[in-house]
Amino acid sequence: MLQITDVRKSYATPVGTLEVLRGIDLELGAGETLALTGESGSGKSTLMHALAGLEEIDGGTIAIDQTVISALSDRELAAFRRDRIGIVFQQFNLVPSLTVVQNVRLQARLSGRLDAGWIDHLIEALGLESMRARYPEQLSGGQQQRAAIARALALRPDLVLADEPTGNLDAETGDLVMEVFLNLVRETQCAFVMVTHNRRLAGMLQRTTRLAGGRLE
Amino acid sequence: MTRTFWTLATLASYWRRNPIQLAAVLVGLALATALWSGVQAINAEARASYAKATGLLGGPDVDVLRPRQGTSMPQSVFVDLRRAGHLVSPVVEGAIAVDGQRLRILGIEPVSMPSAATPEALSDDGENGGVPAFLSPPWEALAAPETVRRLVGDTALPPRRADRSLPPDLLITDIGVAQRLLDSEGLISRLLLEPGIELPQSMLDLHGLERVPPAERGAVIGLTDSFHLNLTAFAFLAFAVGLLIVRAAVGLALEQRLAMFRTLRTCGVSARRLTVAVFLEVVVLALTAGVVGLALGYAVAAVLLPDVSGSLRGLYGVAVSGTLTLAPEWVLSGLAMSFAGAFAAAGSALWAVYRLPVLAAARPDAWRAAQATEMRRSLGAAAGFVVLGGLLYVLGDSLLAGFATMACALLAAALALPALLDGALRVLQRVARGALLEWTIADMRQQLPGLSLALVALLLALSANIGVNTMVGGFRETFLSWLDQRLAAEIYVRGATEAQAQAIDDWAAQQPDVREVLPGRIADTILDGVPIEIRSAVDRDTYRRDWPLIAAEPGAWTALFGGEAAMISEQTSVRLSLDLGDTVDLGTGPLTVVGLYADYGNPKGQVMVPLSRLEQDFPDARRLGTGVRLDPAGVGAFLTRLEAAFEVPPDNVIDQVSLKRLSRETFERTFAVTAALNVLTLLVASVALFTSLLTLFDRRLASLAPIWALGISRRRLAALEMIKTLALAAMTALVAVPLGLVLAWLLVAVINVKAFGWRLPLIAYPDQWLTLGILSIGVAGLASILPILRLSRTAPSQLLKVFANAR
Repeated sequence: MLQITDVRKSYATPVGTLEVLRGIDLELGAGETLALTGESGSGKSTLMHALAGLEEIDGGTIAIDQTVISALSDRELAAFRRDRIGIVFQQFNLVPSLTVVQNVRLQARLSGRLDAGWIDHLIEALGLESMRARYPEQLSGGQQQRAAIARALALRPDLVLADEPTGNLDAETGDLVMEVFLNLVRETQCAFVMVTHNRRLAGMLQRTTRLAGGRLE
Repeated sequence: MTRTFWTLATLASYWRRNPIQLAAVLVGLALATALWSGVQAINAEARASYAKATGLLGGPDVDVLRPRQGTSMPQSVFVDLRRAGHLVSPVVEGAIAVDGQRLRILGIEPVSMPSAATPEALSDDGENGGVPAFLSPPWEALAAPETVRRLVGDTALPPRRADRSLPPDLLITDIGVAQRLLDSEGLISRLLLEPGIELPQSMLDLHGLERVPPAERGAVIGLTDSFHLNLTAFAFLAFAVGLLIVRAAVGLALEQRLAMFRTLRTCGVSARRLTVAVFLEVVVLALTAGVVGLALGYAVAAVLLPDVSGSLRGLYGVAVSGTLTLAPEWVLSGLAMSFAGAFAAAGSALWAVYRLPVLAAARPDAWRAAQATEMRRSLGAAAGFVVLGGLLYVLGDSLLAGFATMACALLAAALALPALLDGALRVLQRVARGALLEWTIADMRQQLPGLSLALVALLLALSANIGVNTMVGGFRETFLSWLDQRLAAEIYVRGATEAQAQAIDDWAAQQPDVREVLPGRIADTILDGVPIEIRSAVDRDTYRRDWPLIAAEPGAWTALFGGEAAMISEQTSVRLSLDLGDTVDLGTGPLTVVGLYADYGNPKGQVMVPLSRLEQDFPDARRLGTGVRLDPAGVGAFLTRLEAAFEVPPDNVIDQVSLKRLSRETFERTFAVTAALNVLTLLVASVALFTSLLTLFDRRLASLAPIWALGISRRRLAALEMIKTLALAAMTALVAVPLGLVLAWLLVAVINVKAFGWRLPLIAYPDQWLTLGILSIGVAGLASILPILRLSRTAPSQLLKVFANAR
């Protein structure tokens, strides 16, 4: 499903070039879940953004279901992301001017593959029924993150990427959100990659790998 | 299509949740379009009136034969030319007063008239009477519909028929009727010549005629062009101020939607689709605001048109219709301006959306860092505009160059203002003592990027006010003092006929209480394509002592009355590049220029020669009112005796006090439009400040909440917010004073000279600056009341949310 081969990425800084990813190789099958751990600044988020096609890589290839996304144009990449990938960020990234249900439906509508029944199921499973017409500012952090999860899964994507999805939530809320999230991921049968600092959360996933010094351990 | 629709719907959801910001964009764009299109409507109406008037003078394809000297010729010239087989048609022109208002009379002979010059109503001689009714009793006359309405009930004039193709305040009638009305039997003003007809020069010489092609008859249009350019410049300034509102609101909307853009990009919307969606959004905004702006513009034009009409009549003696017509090209140009404005304001935002990488879009701090760079770039651009303005001033020699210099000064100041204010605040920050004061100044600096466009709008409006008020104030002072000297005679009287005028002059000279009698004559000519009046002077103390001169050779008056010298008005000096010591030839031999005098308000140039010389060289020169000098206390008694001795029409006698009052009224009316546009520009700037403060409110909470948490009450914070806004407005007003003076100097020393031909002294009015400063602080205070009231009523829970969101 996901094949990463010799991915390299560096940034120019005032003190010289900073190599963040120094040849990453990784494979992940459909329905597999992977926790990506590592210290702050180890390049976890950079790798995650590269997987989502949000960040260009300097070398290597990233292939999702045999499509080499690192070779796609911005337009093709946008279409691929729209139809095949779901992303959950630490900061929720909901559109503040759309209601919960509008936010959840957003990507599916953009893709032209709105499955109202599945979205209703997601909303119910994530406990958002009573909040469908509310705006993000009217929700707690946990509720906002559940809405972001619903949006990421609304399209039944092939790959779901989550960057510290519970980083802004307290431990108890984080665990609850994570549990529901993983249940839905299993139900969707998608590949799942999650960046986290939290070893306990990492332990809830099938595989764990650690990023250090720009390489996977 | 579906994807673009949902992208658009998502973008639109922002405006639905932020209606005040949406209103700011629409109001800014609508006001900008309104002022621009309003002034364009006025200009179009005025130009249409000129076009009608020019058409009547002969039409674009008709040549005119007119006397080389004087303003009329015997009717026998027409008879001689026709008998010689030349297809000419006579015209007589003059003006009479009807109920105190001027009515231009144009007498024509429709049968011989070139078809290109024939009024519309005489072209179809069918259902409405046409030529037969015009040529037979009771001699139906033609006039614009509004003039027909104005003359309802008048029985002294022939019956009137409306003709929409005619300009206002004009009556076209059969030439015989016109000669009777104008008391000029046997005389004609000019002859119209069929297009393409050759006429031997010998024939012209024989009758003392000159042939004038259509291009040289556009002098009035050339003069009024400067007035319209003036209006257009003002409208453009207001338009620019309006655009600043839009740019501020659009820029803020972009910054606040960065997270939304990122989300859309991560959900698979390509940069191109997102740009197209933002583009379409701007189109919808421009269209909505454009339509509202056009409606407002129409209203503005309808309100201002009577004043503009008055100004044009006062300044140039041209009649402009007082009613507005809605032309499709005006609607289209107004909408085009709205679109151009919207894209000018949103262009950089569109580019940023297209260029910004997905991840950078999520970092507002990167955006702000870009703003700091922009501030440095703006300072560089400001310096560039200063240099360009300097070059234009030194090298340019036209009205357009004058306006371009002014635009450079405004742009330089606008670009430099944020950096200037930031620099001043940085200095204040260094000397500030006390935690709250330090925070206040630091917070003002932080607030600057969000408010800078509104402050620039305020700066432009204030400096334009200072500049124009200084120019008008200086003009008023100069004009009134000039008027006092120029209108020295206590009474001005004009006889109903030449014989009566002569009798009055003789009678007045014998009155024991009369010190001096000042008869006068005036003739028209054209020198190097410039319309010139030749006026007379008589060798009396009133001229030698009271006539205001700008510059003169020693013994100028003695030289003038010697008959070999002339004095010229400032306009003549500028337009014909003549100075003291040069010679001017009126077709009767060279005259040395020995004096320059101001002649404010006269669209034509003027040359002054002794009365005896004028009567000798220009026998057809018409009479001016005779000035009578006597003790002011004896004016009433003199008028009573004059009334008993002569049947002078009441409109032909006026005393000095009334004449000065009329002149002052004309002056004030002339600048009424400028004053109105000044106020409107300031109003737009207030709206800019108001909308900026209101739209920035949410962002301000993030700055204020930590201070509130440290123990400063909401009420105190609200007071501090008000003080900060007032301080920024006051600092802007301080910058506006020198900028306004630069504008005033450009107006009096460059633009007025090029546009009107006179230079005015630059007089400073500190009391006006103070008033404007207080006004700007008041405007800022009013603009900040609502946002500050919102802040003082903000619930603690909302302030706490700032921390919740920051978690």
